[in-house]
Amino acid sequence: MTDTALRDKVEELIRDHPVLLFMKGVPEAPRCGFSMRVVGILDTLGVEYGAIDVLPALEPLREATGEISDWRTFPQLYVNGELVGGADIVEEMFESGELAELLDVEQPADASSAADSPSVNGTPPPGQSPPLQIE
Amino acid sequence: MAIELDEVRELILEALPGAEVEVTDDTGGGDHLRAVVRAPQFTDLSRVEQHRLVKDAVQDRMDDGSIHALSVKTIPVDAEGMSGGGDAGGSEAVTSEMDAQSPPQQED
Repeated sequence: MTDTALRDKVEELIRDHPVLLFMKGVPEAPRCGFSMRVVGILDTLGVEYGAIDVLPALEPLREATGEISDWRTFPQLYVNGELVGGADIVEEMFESGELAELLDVEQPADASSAADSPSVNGTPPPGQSPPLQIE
Repeated sequence: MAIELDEVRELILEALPGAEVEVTDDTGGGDHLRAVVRAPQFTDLSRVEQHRLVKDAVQDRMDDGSIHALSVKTIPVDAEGMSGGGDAGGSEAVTSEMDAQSPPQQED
């Protein structure tokens, strides 16, 4: 896949998924602590999201998201086509309740411990979409 | 290949003059770092834009592998001692001053 084709594909994915996470690994088995934190938060909030494992094409995807969003590290969370941020921002916005508001879901009562939620090792919550692949 | 915490701090300070920067080593391995940055330049910027300013400052050291992961917390602070009414115009002045110091990297 050429750089332009990959970039088009990434833009299309961002456009087509209301909530999209670029991560290292898959939601069932994140392969980076930062990705795991974001998966834990999204699962805690119970939102449906698309997930893309960046590891098979890490550098090309870095280039693509760098061009599209001026952001080159993963994870990256997009909501309604806009880059929300990486793990630090997602965590901050989760704790403040802004993320729940952005995603139009209810803020869980005990938000402070949710990022450590062990749910990532268990069965994915109902409604979670299967991982997406970039060939 | 690790990097000195002071060097990371200097790089961020260079990009954000007047900021208060604290860099710590999360894992003790020297390449998973955490930066807490308080800067007047963050005022009126989105979180993503604030983080970009910090990450752009250390991008070269991320690219060369000196830093594997940098966790960033940005905190906008009042520009104490700076003249002006503190309105949007003042913030824009700060932003353009920074742009003048470091050429934009996102242009194709």
